[in-house]
Amino acid sequence: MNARWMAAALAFSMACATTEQKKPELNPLEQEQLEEKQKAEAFAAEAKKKAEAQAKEREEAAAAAAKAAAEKAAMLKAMIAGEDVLLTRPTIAPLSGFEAPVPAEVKLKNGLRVLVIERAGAPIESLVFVTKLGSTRDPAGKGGLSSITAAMLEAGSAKKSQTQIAQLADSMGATLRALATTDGLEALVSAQPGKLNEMGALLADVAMKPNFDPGEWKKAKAQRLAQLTDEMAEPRVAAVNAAMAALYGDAPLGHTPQGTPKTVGAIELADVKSFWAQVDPSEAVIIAVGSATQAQVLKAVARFEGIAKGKGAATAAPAGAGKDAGDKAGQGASQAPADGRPRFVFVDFPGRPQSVLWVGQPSVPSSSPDQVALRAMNVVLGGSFTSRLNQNLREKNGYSYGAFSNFAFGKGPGAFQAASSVKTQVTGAALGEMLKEIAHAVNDPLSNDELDKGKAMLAYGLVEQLERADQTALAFAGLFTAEVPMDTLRKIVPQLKTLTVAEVNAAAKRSLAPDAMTIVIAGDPGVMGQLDALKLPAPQKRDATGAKQ
Amino acid sequence: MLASLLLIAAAAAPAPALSLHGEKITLDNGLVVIAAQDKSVPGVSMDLWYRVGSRDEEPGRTGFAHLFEHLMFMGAVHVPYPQFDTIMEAAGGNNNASTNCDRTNYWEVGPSNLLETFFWMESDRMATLDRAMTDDKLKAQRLIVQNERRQSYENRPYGMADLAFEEQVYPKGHPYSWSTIGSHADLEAATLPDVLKFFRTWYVPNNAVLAVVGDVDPQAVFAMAKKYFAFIPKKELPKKEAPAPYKMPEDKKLTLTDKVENEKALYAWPSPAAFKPGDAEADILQSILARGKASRLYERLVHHDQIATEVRAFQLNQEYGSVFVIDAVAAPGHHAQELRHAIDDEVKKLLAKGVTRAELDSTKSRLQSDFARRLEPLQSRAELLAQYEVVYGDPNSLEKDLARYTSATPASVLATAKSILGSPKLSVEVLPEVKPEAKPTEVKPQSGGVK
Repeated sequence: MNARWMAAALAFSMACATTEQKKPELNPLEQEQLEEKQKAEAFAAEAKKKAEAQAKEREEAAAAAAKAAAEKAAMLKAMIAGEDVLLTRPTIAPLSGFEAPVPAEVKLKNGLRVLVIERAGAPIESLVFVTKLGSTRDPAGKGGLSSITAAMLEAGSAKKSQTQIAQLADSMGATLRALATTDGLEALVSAQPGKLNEMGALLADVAMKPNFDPGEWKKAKAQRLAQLTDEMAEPRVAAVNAAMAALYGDAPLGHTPQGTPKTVGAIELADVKSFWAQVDPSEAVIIAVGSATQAQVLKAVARFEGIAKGKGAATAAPAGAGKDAGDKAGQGASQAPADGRPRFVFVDFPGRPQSVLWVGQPSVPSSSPDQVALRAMNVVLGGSFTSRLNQNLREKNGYSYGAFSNFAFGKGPGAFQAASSVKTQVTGAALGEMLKEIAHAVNDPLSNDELDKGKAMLAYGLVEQLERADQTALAFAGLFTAEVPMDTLRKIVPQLKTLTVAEVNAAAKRSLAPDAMTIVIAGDPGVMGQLDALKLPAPQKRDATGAKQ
Repeated sequence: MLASLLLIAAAAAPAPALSLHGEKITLDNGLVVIAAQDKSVPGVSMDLWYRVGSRDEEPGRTGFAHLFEHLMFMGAVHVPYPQFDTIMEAAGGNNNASTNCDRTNYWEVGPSNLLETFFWMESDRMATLDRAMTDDKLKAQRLIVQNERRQSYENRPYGMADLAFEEQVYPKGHPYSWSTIGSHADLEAATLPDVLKFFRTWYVPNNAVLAVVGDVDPQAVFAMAKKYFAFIPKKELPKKEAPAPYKMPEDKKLTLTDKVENEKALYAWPSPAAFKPGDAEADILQSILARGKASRLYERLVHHDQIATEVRAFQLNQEYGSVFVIDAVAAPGHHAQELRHAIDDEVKKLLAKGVTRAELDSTKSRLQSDFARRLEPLQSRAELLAQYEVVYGDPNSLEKDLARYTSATPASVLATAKSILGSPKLSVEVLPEVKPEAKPTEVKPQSGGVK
């Protein structure tokens, strides 16, 4: 109580003390009258200043417009014969929409689903075996197991060596690759049509009869460790490693599918064998895209009926799954960062000409009802050339070659991330602009035009995403591993039609917290002095694998 | 009739013939326009190919053709900046462009109702870009291109080695003796008069080919082409003289240091010009050497000897003469010299015994699949049509191109191998830089802006 009064009195006396220095002391009435007068004068002065500023602004705008008009007039004066055809902007007629395919589905006797997208006359046929054994199923401390298991699928099977498998694929003109994502492990074979049975046989060998040869294992592990070491020199990879580790810690999304030298070093061949023994018909699917009919596909993949129930197949959430991992779909589970998450992470790359900036946070899973709204918001923020991030960091300021953002939607709350490589000397200014744009896109509604652009680009993006057979197969594989329905892509366009600016803004606010995002810089540590104005907390140093230093 | 239909249905569906079917007209001003209809998706792609690249740059202006490509998006008279992008993206379309030593290629992709908009915008920048060009536009894009150089080369592991084979294989003064990205100093030296001169010299209808593929009627495409492009006057182009085919007189060695973890060895040879005899065989050769896990160099260096983590062989297919590259990244603890010995040994074996029939047949199958994959997106089909027009004077030359590969024999591949790999080469080794001491030196902020 005393303190409050004291504070007020102190404030008053201080105010008097300052006026005393400039003017003689006045009695209270005179003081009041003077203050009123001063207020009125100040108000008038302020209004005049404002009016002048506005007038000046108007004048400048008028001058700029006049100059632009004069320039345009001069440019038009120089028009050549026939150029007047360019004076009229063509109209853009309405277009009937694109309907994304929904695969036809049938089950093999063991319960394995076979999904077929038939496209008559397609030049490429793609066949993919998808399991849910992605990197989020890597056991604790063995990050990279899913990915190196994928490599081992190509390293020998059914009495064929790695080289013989590759030769077989080559002879068919086929592409064969096995790869791990956060949610899945996918083996894909694709070639020109007419080879479906051979493709099915090769895929079955690779997926069902891997020989996990100890000699090949030693080589695969050494090679993976060496590749991971090479990547330590790549700031873009380091920034993502550090970001995932900082965001998710020991939870399944805390490492990239490749793992780190330490976690891959801890993996043994027995781990690979028991990991792949989990393959279960209820957790897998075959997807075919191309000119083949469903009957032709079923014949080609008949051997997959031999996949028996997996050993130790996880039915519940995987061990070590964080509480955010997919179990609070769409509920804004990740709105507030977990306690103790570092806000600012630095990975040292002395002497580099650019800093890699990364800003993000865990977002929502694919199953979130907000997904389409967030995608639309992202086109505007950082998912197009004319996005705010790219226009600001690249076009307006020349800090960067490009700036982007995206959502890594999946079964769990994948990250929202914005990133850019910026010239080292402008690191602080560029990061400031990036943070400003993110906050603006979340806190304030988009304009109607911006949302319309987001809708149009997402709709045509779907057409482009599904042009290639391989990409199409992998898009549907992604739906399966994210555990969302197979008509998800088809529903995007109708959902976009009714989406409003307010809905997008509400979704952004539910899912993203600009003030609590994690910031990662991978670059020269000499840039720290540029960051003062941003008032970041002290940086947590991490190495290029994401480990704390 | 019925019996034969049943027979067809019973057999495995044969691979559809690989071909492109574009219709073509040539406007009076020399612009070639190609159209191909595909109703399978409601989209369209336009590809506008200008026959100008980094080989056409003036001395002291390396990187200019690519910098100019960026300036093509800075607005012209009727579609001022930034409307080229905003109009297109607002309607769901997108665009990009690329420059190499021989050509600059611009493309748009989007819903088919954007076709006329694409014509309008491409016409505007071909007809009027110079009138709307300013020094500020040049300054803005120069900064961005310099950032591109940093991101794609300087701040990417082994990026500087990629510049070496672009710059060091052909002799000083040869139009392929500098990189397309150019040097910082030359980018900074570029002026507004340079921009205007380059545009007025090369960006003319008789130096361009325009191809459209998608859910569009070819006759409508041709009508729009006439409406939007026929008024642009043709201009005489500078005479270009192709330099004589080049072989390096002797081996050339370079050592670079870079911010990398492991050593790298790189070889580069001059090789036959794109689409000329030996070019297809050189592509086949790179596939046999290093494409996939059954390839010779992968099997030897990565899989058997375990001295490398990655090995590549590829060609820059170029009109005046290509570059054939083999490179490998050393496994930890191994050295560039070991990589070179193993590569030398495999090259020696290849030159002594040639390639097997099985290797050649597999490679042909894979290359055919590559062609099939290029027929999937609208955009790459439009690009192929334009390229075939430029190369063969006929957009429907896919079969002709493919035949170069299918007609190769073990003897023709060996002859090409001898002619390329048996000749002097550039040899580059990249060594890890000694890491700077941990104590940071402050990097002072610097204004990056232009406005």
